[in-house]
Amino acid sequence: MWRLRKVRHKAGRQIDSLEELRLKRRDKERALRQARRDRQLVSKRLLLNEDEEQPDVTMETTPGEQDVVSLFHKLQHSRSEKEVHLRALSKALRDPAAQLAFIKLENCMHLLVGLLTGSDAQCRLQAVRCLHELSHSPHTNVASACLPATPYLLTYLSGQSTKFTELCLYTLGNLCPDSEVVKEKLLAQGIIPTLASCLENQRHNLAVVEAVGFTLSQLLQTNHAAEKIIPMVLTSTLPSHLLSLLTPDPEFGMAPAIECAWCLHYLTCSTEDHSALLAQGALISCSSLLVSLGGAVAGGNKEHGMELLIWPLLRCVGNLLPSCPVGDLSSRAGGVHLVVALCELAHAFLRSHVALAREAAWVLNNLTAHSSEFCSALLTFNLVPRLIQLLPFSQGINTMVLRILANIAHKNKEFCVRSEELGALSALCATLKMADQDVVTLSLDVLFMMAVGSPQTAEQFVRQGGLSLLEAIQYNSAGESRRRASYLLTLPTFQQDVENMTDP
Amino acid sequence: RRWKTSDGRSRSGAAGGGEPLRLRSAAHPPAQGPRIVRGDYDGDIHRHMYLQDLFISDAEDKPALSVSEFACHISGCSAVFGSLDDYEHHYNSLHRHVCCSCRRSLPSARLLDIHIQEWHDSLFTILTQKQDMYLCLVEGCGLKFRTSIQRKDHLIRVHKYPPDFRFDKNKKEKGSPAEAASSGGVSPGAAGEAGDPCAGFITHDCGAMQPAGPPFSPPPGVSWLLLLMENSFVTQISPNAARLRDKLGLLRTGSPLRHRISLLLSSCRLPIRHSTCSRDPAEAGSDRPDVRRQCCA
Repeated sequence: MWRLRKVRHKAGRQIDSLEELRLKRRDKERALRQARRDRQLVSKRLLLNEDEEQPDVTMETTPGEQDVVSLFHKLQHSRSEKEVHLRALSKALRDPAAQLAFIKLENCMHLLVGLLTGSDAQCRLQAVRCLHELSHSPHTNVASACLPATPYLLTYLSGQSTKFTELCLYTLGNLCPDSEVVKEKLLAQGIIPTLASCLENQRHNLAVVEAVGFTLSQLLQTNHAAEKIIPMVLTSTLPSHLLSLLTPDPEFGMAPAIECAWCLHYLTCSTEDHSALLAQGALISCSSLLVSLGGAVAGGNKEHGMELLIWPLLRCVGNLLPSCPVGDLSSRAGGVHLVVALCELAHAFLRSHVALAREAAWVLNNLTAHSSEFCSALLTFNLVPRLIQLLPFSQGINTMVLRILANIAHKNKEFCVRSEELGALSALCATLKMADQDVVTLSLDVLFMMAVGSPQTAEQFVRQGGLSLLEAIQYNSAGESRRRASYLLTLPTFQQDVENMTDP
Repeated sequence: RRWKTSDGRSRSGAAGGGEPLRLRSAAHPPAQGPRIVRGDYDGDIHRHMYLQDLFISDAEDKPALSVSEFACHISGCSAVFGSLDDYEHHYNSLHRHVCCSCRRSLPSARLLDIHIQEWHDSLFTILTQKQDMYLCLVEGCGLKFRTSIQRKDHLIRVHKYPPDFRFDKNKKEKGSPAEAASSGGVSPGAAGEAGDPCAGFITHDCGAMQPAGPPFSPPPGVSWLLLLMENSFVTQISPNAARLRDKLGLLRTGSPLRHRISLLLSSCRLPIRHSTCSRDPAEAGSDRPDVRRQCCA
């Protein structure tokens, strides 16, 4: 089982220096980004042996391919010491070349399945470990070779041995994305109902919960999951279990909640029809967890790896909101306090994960798009100045905040009237001068609504030299910003002030 | 409240009341979804780094948070700035007090007035033959002199200006096209005279002016004015538009002329270059020379 650690090393190799690790990470990140662009984002997990879990323990050098062959022969022919040979084999199978060599051996899978289903419990454990190592192979044909074992792995999920169940689950999870054939077989063999009952029966066992979550998330990310897998999962008991397991356990840690949250995200983002999830309280569960996480962050309690949980929750809420009728939005979201948490999260993660901060702002945008209740909440909780503090930042932050301000200005007269007092007006005078044309266009939208909502605000804008700014935009910009500036200048509310104004 | 775009279609106030945006996950390409914004899927990358045991929680190797730049919005000026203060300083130094005729930038409204008066006002030139017209540049002094050389001496002797202060006209400047186009074609000054007293303050020449882009169809009632402005070269913002506004007080309320000047002021506080605008004196009440100096609409 995993615990989040500061730095993880792949066991079985020399300990990398910090610099090597950093380089490796950078390369891996680049590879993931490329994979993401190609829509091929796939990961596997390797469950370490107990003796490997200490990062400072160095494994002896792994045996080569030749050893795999000889071990296989020993297993075929010897009657005793099978467990010892299996243990050695599992270590040998850590090596990708050895994995390829092994699957070429005739009857290799027959042997492993025999040991997997045999009467010796220790051999079963080591056999599943061998399969687990194979499932982690970077070569996709290795996964296909493991297919004969899958029905047994699924059967064993209803067993009670934690370590064994975990290994079965992670093996299945690693095999899912490798080929369509494997995936289809697993579906036919009933992986989804099996996972559902496993989760139901083992919900007290958080290590197993984490493993089920991982396996399910792998299934949900496969190609064309939306066609068959997602509907099957939505009609099963899985969503309600996932929702009930979202709250992190203080002792065990966040890992199981993280897996469940990502599963929920893959479910919500793959479909437009959220009625089932909403009926099961998905929105309120995710929102209330965000509120408590936001509170923890505000209290200075920003836990290591917290963003791994916050990210999918934000996305669930943000994607569920459009399916929610506006009328009871606040009750479905568990009250309006969510806006406080979202502001906190945006600020807290601005420097470490700007994309997360942007997604927190995105959720705020979706909340305020149609609901005057949430718009008022932003004023009641005095969050407008906090939002304005985000306006200098690019990478989508300021454009999203401007959308939020436009939403508020559209629905809340008090905001328009108090714009200057809240600092919104001078903030706009600054954003109107930015280089990014989207920022300028959105700023003009906000200004329009503020000016229409409150003539005094229009007057204040003129007094701050706003008209000359608009004129300059009108004559020196193109497209949308120019159109808006031009129209603004023809508004009667700006016309009247001409005679009263003084020169800057 | 709805507003019309230039082509007349209605739209509700853009972002307010707009559709909430949807976010899609890594593995599921949206069938019809929002435009994928670069960086949207950092969360997925982060998760997969975690799954592959490459997770490091410390914020090392994180790119620095980026801040939106400010861009000078004056046509032809492509300066960008990292802070609002830098932008304001640039704007105030280089664009605020600019002569619309010769595009020189002056440090203050007062010096701009003096410059315009001495360089671009034919009446001034006529009056210098009869009376002391050259005003001391130091605010509060108030003394006037018959020639600019006398004024220069005064500035050096009394106000301790350096003798090598840039009193002389910038040799690259051949004289503004406005001079040639103005009625009567009065030359800037007597030959041999020291040139633009404000030359020492010239800081920047803003470069080529561009017309503001393709015309759009404006709301009815103001088409003549906007068409005019569309077709002219608009330069810098001048504080002297206040003078034109004074004009309004002389006209009776509701008069068409008052309305048109009011519109002109609200939508164009930028003087229009002499060579391209209509020169109907009656329209702008150009019996007052100060008006003609700034804006010839």
